[in-house]
Amino acid sequence: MEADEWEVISEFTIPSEQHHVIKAVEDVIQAVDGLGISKEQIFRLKTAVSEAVMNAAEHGNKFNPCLEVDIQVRANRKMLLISVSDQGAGGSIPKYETPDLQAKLVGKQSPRGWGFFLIEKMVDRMEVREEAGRNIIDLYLYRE
Amino acid sequence: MSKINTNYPIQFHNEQVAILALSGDLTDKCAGNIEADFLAVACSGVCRLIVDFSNVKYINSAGIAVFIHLIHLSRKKHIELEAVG
Repeated sequence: MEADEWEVISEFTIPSEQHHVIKAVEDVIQAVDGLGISKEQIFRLKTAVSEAVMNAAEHGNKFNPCLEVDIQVRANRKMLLISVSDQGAGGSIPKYETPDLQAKLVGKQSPRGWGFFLIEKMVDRMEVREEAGRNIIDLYLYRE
Repeated sequence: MSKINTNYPIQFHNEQVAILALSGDLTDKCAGNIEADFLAVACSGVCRLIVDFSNVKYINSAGIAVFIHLIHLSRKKHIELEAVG
Protein backbone atom coordinates (compact mmCIF):
# COMPACT_ATOMS: atom_id res chain seq x y z
CA MET A 1 0.00 0.00 0.00
CA GLU A 2 1.41 3.41 -0.96
CA ALA A 3 1.54 5.95 1.87
CA ASP A 4 -1.20 8.11 0.32
CA GLU A 5 -3.32 5.28 -1.03
CA TRP A 6 -6.41 4.69 1.10
CA GLU A 7 -7.59 1.13 1.63
CA VAL A 8 -11.17 0.61 2.74
CA ILE A 9 -11.09 -1.43 5.95
CA SER A 10 -14.78 -1.44 6.74
CA GLU A 11 -18.00 0.31 5.77
CA PHE A 12 -21.44 -0.02 7.24
CA THR A 13 -24.62 1.90 7.95
CA ILE A 14 -26.82 2.34 11.01
CA PRO A 15 -30.35 3.71 11.41
CA SER A 16 -30.50 7.21 12.89
CA GLU A 17 -31.35 6.14 16.42
CA GLN A 18 -29.39 6.85 19.55
CA HIS A 19 -29.01 3.25 20.69
CA HIS A 20 -27.31 2.27 17.42
CA VAL A 21 -24.46 4.69 18.09
CA ILE A 22 -22.88 2.39 20.66
CA LYS A 23 -22.75 -0.49 18.19
CA ALA A 24 -21.27 1.77 15.51
CA VAL A 25 -18.45 2.79 17.86
CA GLU A 26 -17.76 -0.85 18.74
CA ASP A 27 -17.67 -1.80 15.05
CA VAL A 28 -15.18 0.96 14.24
CA ILE A 29 -12.94 -0.06 17.13
CA GLN A 30 -13.07 -3.67 15.97
CA ALA A 31 -12.23 -2.60 12.41
CA VAL A 32 -9.08 -0.73 13.46
CA ASP A 33 -7.79 -3.55 15.65
CA GLY A 34 -4.30 -4.51 14.55
CA LEU A 35 -3.70 -1.30 12.60
CA GLY A 36 -1.19 0.16 15.04
CA ILE A 37 -3.53 2.21 17.15
CA SER A 38 -2.57 2.71 20.79
CA LYS A 39 -4.93 2.29 23.75
CA GLU A 40 -4.96 6.03 24.24
CA GLN A 41 -5.86 6.56 20.59
CA ILE A 42 -8.63 3.98 20.89
CA PHE A 43 -10.04 5.91 23.84
CA ARG A 44 -9.97 9.14 21.86
CA LEU A 45 -11.40 7.46 18.78
CA LYS A 46 -14.36 6.13 20.76
CA THR A 47 -15.29 9.64 21.85
CA ALA A 48 -14.76 11.17 18.42
CA VAL A 49 -16.71 8.50 16.53
CA SER A 50 -19.51 8.53 19.09
CA GLU A 51 -19.87 12.31 18.76
CA ALA A 52 -19.65 12.27 14.96
CA VAL A 53 -22.23 9.49 14.58
CA MET A 54 -24.56 11.11 17.11
CA ASN A 55 -24.19 14.42 15.29
CA ALA A 56 -25.10 12.81 11.97
CA ALA A 57 -28.10 10.97 13.43
CA GLU A 58 -29.41 13.93 15.42
CA HIS A 59 -28.61 17.04 13.38
CA GLY A 60 -28.15 15.54 9.94
CA ASN A 61 -30.97 13.01 9.92
CA LYS A 62 -33.14 14.44 12.72
CA PHE A 63 -33.27 10.99 14.34
CA ASN A 64 -35.40 9.70 11.47
CA PRO A 65 -34.86 5.91 11.70
CA CYS A 66 -35.60 5.59 7.98
CA LEU A 67 -32.49 7.63 7.26
CA GLU A 68 -29.09 6.06 7.67
CA VAL A 69 -25.71 7.15 8.90
CA ASP A 70 -22.87 5.79 6.79
CA ILE A 71 -19.53 5.00 8.39
CA GLN A 72 -16.43 4.19 6.38
CA VAL A 73 -13.08 3.23 7.86
CA ARG A 74 -10.01 3.65 5.66
CA ALA A 75 -6.30 3.41 6.29
CA ASN A 76 -3.05 4.15 4.56
CA ARG A 77 0.44 3.53 5.89
CA LYS A 78 0.43 6.68 7.95
CA MET A 79 -3.14 7.42 8.93
CA LEU A 80 -6.61 6.19 9.69
CA LEU A 81 -9.58 7.99 8.18
CA ILE A 82 -13.08 7.49 9.53
CA SER A 83 -15.79 9.20 7.48
CA VAL A 84 -19.27 9.65 8.93
CA SER A 85 -22.03 10.89 6.65
CA ASP A 86 -25.71 11.62 7.06
CA GLN A 87 -28.41 11.87 4.40
CA GLY A 88 -28.67 15.62 4.68
CA ALA A 89 -32.33 15.89 5.64
CA GLY A 90 -31.40 18.37 8.34
CA GLY A 91 -29.66 20.67 5.88
CA SER A 92 -26.12 21.88 6.26
CA ILE A 93 -24.33 21.37 9.56
CA PRO A 94 -24.02 24.73 11.36
CA LYS A 95 -20.58 26.29 11.29
CA TYR A 96 -18.45 25.07 14.15
CA GLU A 97 -17.81 27.63 16.87
CA THR A 98 -15.60 27.21 19.90
CA PRO A 99 -17.88 26.90 22.94
CA ASP A 100 -17.80 29.78 25.42
CA LEU A 101 -17.98 28.11 28.83
CA GLN A 102 -18.63 31.31 30.78
CA ALA A 103 -21.48 32.29 28.46
CA LYS A 104 -22.96 28.82 28.84
CA LEU A 105 -22.71 28.92 32.63
CA VAL A 106 -24.66 32.17 32.84
CA GLY A 107 -27.24 31.03 30.30
CA LYS A 108 -26.22 33.45 27.54
CA GLN A 109 -25.34 30.59 25.21
CA SER A 110 -26.97 27.19 24.83
CA PRO A 111 -25.33 24.62 27.12
CA ARG A 112 -24.99 22.37 24.08
CA GLY A 113 -22.57 22.73 21.16
CA TRP A 114 -19.67 20.63 22.47
CA GLY A 115 -19.67 17.89 19.81
CA PHE A 116 -17.30 19.34 17.22
CA PHE A 117 -15.13 20.81 19.97
CA LEU A 118 -14.67 17.36 21.53
CA ILE A 119 -14.08 15.68 18.17
CA GLU A 120 -11.43 18.21 17.20
CA LYS A 121 -9.58 17.60 20.48
CA MET A 122 -9.71 13.81 20.11
CA VAL A 123 -8.36 13.36 16.59
CA ASP A 124 -5.33 14.65 14.70
CA ARG A 125 -7.44 16.37 12.06
CA MET A 126 -11.15 16.90 11.47
CA GLU A 127 -12.79 18.05 8.25
CA VAL A 128 -16.46 18.82 7.69
CA ARG A 129 -17.72 18.87 4.11
CA GLU A 130 -20.83 18.50 1.99
CA GLU A 131 -21.03 16.12 -0.93
CA ALA A 132 -24.07 15.19 -3.01
CA GLY A 133 -26.46 16.52 -0.39
CA ARG A 134 -24.74 14.73 2.46
CA ASN A 135 -22.85 16.17 5.40
CA ILE A 136 -19.59 14.30 5.92
CA ILE A 137 -17.25 14.46 8.89
CA ASP A 138 -13.76 13.10 8.24
CA LEU A 139 -11.71 12.04 11.26
CA TYR A 140 -7.96 11.56 10.72
CA LEU A 141 -5.68 9.80 13.17
CA TYR A 142 -1.97 9.10 12.76
CA ARG A 143 -0.99 5.45 13.15
CA GLU A 144 1.76 4.93 15.73
CA MET B 1 -21.43 2.10 27.49
CA SER B 2 -23.92 0.92 30.06
CA LYS B 3 -27.68 1.10 30.16
CA ILE B 4 -29.03 4.55 30.93
CA ASN B 5 -30.36 4.88 34.44
CA THR B 6 -33.21 7.37 34.46
CA ASN B 7 -33.98 7.00 38.14
CA TYR B 8 -31.36 8.90 40.10
CA PRO B 9 -31.73 8.65 43.86
CA ILE B 10 -31.52 11.81 45.93
CA GLN B 11 -30.23 11.44 49.44
CA PHE B 12 -30.65 14.22 51.97
CA HIS B 13 -27.55 14.28 54.11
CA ASN B 14 -29.24 16.81 56.41
CA GLU B 15 -31.63 19.75 55.99
CA GLN B 16 -29.04 21.73 54.09
CA VAL B 17 -27.18 19.19 51.97
CA ALA B 18 -28.54 16.82 49.32
CA ILE B 19 -26.64 14.24 47.28
CA LEU B 20 -27.63 13.37 43.71
CA ALA B 21 -25.98 10.08 42.76
CA LEU B 22 -25.81 9.67 38.98
CA SER B 23 -25.18 6.33 37.37
CA GLY B 24 -24.97 4.77 33.92
CA ASP B 25 -24.66 7.04 30.91
CA LEU B 26 -24.97 10.81 31.12
CA THR B 27 -26.51 11.91 27.81
CA ASP B 28 -29.35 14.15 26.69
CA LYS B 29 -31.79 11.33 27.53
CA CYS B 30 -31.17 12.09 31.20
CA ALA B 31 -31.73 15.83 30.95
CA GLY B 32 -35.40 15.86 31.96
CA ASN B 33 -34.89 13.53 34.91
CA ILE B 34 -31.88 15.36 36.27
CA GLU B 35 -33.62 18.74 35.97
CA ALA B 36 -36.70 17.34 37.75
CA ASP B 37 -34.46 15.94 40.49
CA PHE B 38 -32.72 19.27 40.81
CA LEU B 39 -36.00 21.16 41.12
CA ALA B 40 -37.12 18.73 43.82
CA VAL B 41 -33.90 19.46 45.68
CA ALA B 42 -34.33 23.23 45.18
CA CYS B 43 -37.88 23.10 46.57
CA SER B 44 -36.69 21.26 49.65
CA GLY B 45 -34.70 24.30 50.75
CA VAL B 46 -31.21 22.81 50.79
CA CYS B 47 -28.36 25.19 50.12
CA ARG B 48 -25.80 22.66 48.88
CA LEU B 49 -26.10 19.90 46.29
CA ILE B 50 -23.41 17.28 45.83
CA VAL B 51 -23.51 15.56 42.43
CA ASP B 52 -21.80 12.17 42.67
CA PHE B 53 -20.36 10.93 39.37
CA SER B 54 -18.75 7.80 40.87
CA ASN B 55 -21.03 5.41 39.01
CA VAL B 56 -21.26 7.32 35.74
CA LYS B 57 -19.81 5.11 33.00
CA TYR B 58 -20.02 7.43 30.04
CA ILE B 59 -20.58 11.14 29.34
CA ASN B 60 -21.01 12.54 25.85
CA SER B 61 -21.20 16.15 24.68
CA ALA B 62 -24.91 16.27 25.45
CA GLY B 63 -24.14 15.02 28.96
CA ILE B 64 -21.66 17.84 29.42
CA ALA B 65 -24.45 20.20 28.40
CA VAL B 66 -26.77 18.62 30.99
CA PHE B 67 -24.23 19.30 33.73
CA ILE B 68 -23.61 22.86 32.55
CA HIS B 69 -27.36 23.45 32.64
CA LEU B 70 -27.38 22.09 36.18
CA ILE B 71 -24.67 24.58 37.18
CA HIS B 72 -26.70 27.38 35.59
CA LEU B 73 -29.85 26.36 37.48
CA SER B 74 -28.00 26.05 40.77
CA ARG B 75 -26.61 29.57 40.41
CA LYS B 76 -30.09 30.92 39.74
CA LYS B 77 -31.44 29.15 42.81
CA HIS B 78 -28.42 30.12 44.95
CA ILE B 79 -27.56 26.49 45.62
CA GLU B 80 -23.91 25.59 46.00
CA LEU B 81 -23.05 22.76 43.62
CA GLU B 82 -20.22 20.32 44.20
CA ALA B 83 -19.14 17.54 41.83
CA VAL B 84 -17.46 14.43 43.25
CA GLY B 85 -16.42 11.02 41.98
